[in-house]
Amino acid sequence: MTKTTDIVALDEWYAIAVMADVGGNPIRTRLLGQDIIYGRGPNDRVSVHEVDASGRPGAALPTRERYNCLWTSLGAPRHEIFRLAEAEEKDRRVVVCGWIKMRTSGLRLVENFLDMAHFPYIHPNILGAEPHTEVPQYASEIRRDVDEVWATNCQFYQPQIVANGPGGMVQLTYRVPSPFVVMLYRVCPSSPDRLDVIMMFIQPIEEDLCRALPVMYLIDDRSSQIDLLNFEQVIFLQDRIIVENQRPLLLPLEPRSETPTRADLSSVVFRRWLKEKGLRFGTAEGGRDLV
Amino acid sequence: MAKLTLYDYELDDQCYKVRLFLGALGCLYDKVAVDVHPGSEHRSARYLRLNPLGALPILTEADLTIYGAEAILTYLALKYDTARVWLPEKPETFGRIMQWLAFSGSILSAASIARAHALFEIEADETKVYRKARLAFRLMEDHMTKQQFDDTFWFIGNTATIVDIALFPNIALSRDFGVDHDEYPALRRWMAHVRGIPGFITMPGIPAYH
Amino acid sequence: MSFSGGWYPVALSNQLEPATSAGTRLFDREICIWRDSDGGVHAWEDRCPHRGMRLSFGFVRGDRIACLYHGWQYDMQGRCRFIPAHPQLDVPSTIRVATYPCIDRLGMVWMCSDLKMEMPLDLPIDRRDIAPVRSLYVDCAPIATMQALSARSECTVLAGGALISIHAGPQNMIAGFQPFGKGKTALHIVFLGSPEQYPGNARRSAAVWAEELRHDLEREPVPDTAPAGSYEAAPWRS
Ligand code: FES
Ligand SMILES: [Fe+2]
Repeated sequence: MTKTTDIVALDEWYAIAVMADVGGNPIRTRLLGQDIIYGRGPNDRVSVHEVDASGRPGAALPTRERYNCLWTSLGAPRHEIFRLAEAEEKDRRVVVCGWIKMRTSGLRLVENFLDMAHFPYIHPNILGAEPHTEVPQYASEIRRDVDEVWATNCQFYQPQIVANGPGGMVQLTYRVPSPFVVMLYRVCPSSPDRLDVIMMFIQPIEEDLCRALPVMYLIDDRSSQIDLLNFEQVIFLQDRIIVENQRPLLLPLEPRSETPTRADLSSVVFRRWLKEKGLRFGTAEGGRDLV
Repeated sequence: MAKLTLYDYELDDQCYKVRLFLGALGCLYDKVAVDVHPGSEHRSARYLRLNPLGALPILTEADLTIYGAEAILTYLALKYDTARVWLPEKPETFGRIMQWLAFSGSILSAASIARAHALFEIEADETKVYRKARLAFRLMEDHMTKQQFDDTFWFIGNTATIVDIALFPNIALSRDFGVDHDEYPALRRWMAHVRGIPGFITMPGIPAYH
Repeated sequence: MSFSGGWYPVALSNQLEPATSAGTRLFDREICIWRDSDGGVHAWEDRCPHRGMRLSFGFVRGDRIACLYHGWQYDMQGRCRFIPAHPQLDVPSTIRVATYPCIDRLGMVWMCSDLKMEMPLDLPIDRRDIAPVRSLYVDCAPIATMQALSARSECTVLAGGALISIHAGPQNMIAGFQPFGKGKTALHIVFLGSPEQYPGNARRSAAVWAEELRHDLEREPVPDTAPAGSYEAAPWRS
């Protein structure tokens, strides 16, 4: 595949690597159909370059180091990477879960992340359990001032809120700061006045191929690192079999091509936001013909 | 009695073989979670001392350390299945069990590589491992097709053996690397029976309802 | 030659047990086949109307199939009856899965490839005593497979290509022909006769014969001469 012509997608920031993995050996990957290469130069400077057809590195791309990751853009981003206030708190525990590759549009993954109705079916006895299947009404909106999608006042019954913890109603807030980044704030079980943050950074490789990295900023000094990793990875892999088997793989923006209910409000708002932005990459409407 | 300890990674199909069998045997054991991805902890000095091949699963009990799913299944069967149901001693049966365990440890391992490649971007010759994995599944399908003519639902004989445990995970997880079950009707029926084994457990990629 | 809309076998009946579902393809279109608890067979578009999840991953409960993703339940007519996220909701009758005509015949599950077509399944053979052998999935294009089979002396094409009559050695077999997709064909092989007439060892040797047939068909790949447009490839598959 070649680099997308979708300006909206090109002008976004994307996490492409965990900083700890950026070293002297250049690593090649792909973003929006374009091969790129990144690494640390002799003066410790991190750089990302496009790789041209002959395999030679081309012009340097903009870079940022944020949230333990290396970010880049193939276009000219019109804003900075979103800000997460919680990441500046000193007592936060950061858990970087490891990239997982998925044969689907990154946008399908964002919607899956926003979705609560699947908890009892896909994450039984972890994030949900029958017969507690009802999704209570919540609110979702495009926040014009920051150009983000939010879903607030979300509640769902979870039989296990943290690794090896007890069950109950969780209070969740979802935030989509850019088309390929999604996160949730969850009332922290150990200190109810604060919020745990679970983010997912998506590197769209091709229209229907991506890799994703969960990064968590938690208030938790009890759980072991490996338990936190396992908890998140298990959930992530349970979702993977879903998102790889949705048809079409590319996200349809046309409202009538699927059947949203009230529980899907956040996905309806997300799709409307993408449509307004004019994003085409990874959507059924604008995607290249995959035949 | 000395405690069984399994060094385990939740997303690893080889570890799942052992968890599955421990579940079927109803054995109590300690699980030590190893940070395989992204930590590569299984290749650290600590784990290389337990398994110089740098791979999971590893099982320890008192002074014994044993690694590799097929070896562990065999050990557990001999030690904890006193009725000899999972690993019958009859030479004909035993020989065929060894044949399929070798299959599991050789050609079928292409399926594990293909899956690790699809999930974690582990380097692999994609075309080659996919071809090999599909060939392995086809051989299993051909075998189970013929088993049905003998009115058996298991790989060997009339009861479940460690072969059924060793072979189940790779095909059950094949959709993780894009191989559907469409072409394997006999394996689909067999998998439904494996799911019916008392103590059966799932893992991510194997939906609980099916 | 090309294939047109009509009835095609998509599985052996005995391989689709009550209360199970499976995926298959016809001309690369993804199909969900499932059998309800009372034994009825169903062939549907393999896509849940809610968020597009393949229904073949779903689970059958009684006379309904539930989607794996959010547990929406569909009745035998393809109509959604229950949405777990809104247990109180009276589900609108407009939420439906596209269903194909589907029937058990000659020990095989048949589906009509055309959603709108109302044509009866008309087969030159009609028997109830069937001894199933196996479904054979061959990495060979449907057109090429059909040509190769037609050229073999032991095969006779029947029913416009849906059935192949096979006289291999002393045995009379019938194979249902499923144009699975690009480069892949399925043959659903049965004996015309009761399982008593064709016990395990007869079926076993037929299965071995089938393996050899598959080997032959795959060894010399005949180029797929299908005219453009005779496949309705699923748009999301590369
Ligand atoms: S996609 Fe089928 S129930 Fe949601
Ligand atoms: Fe999920």
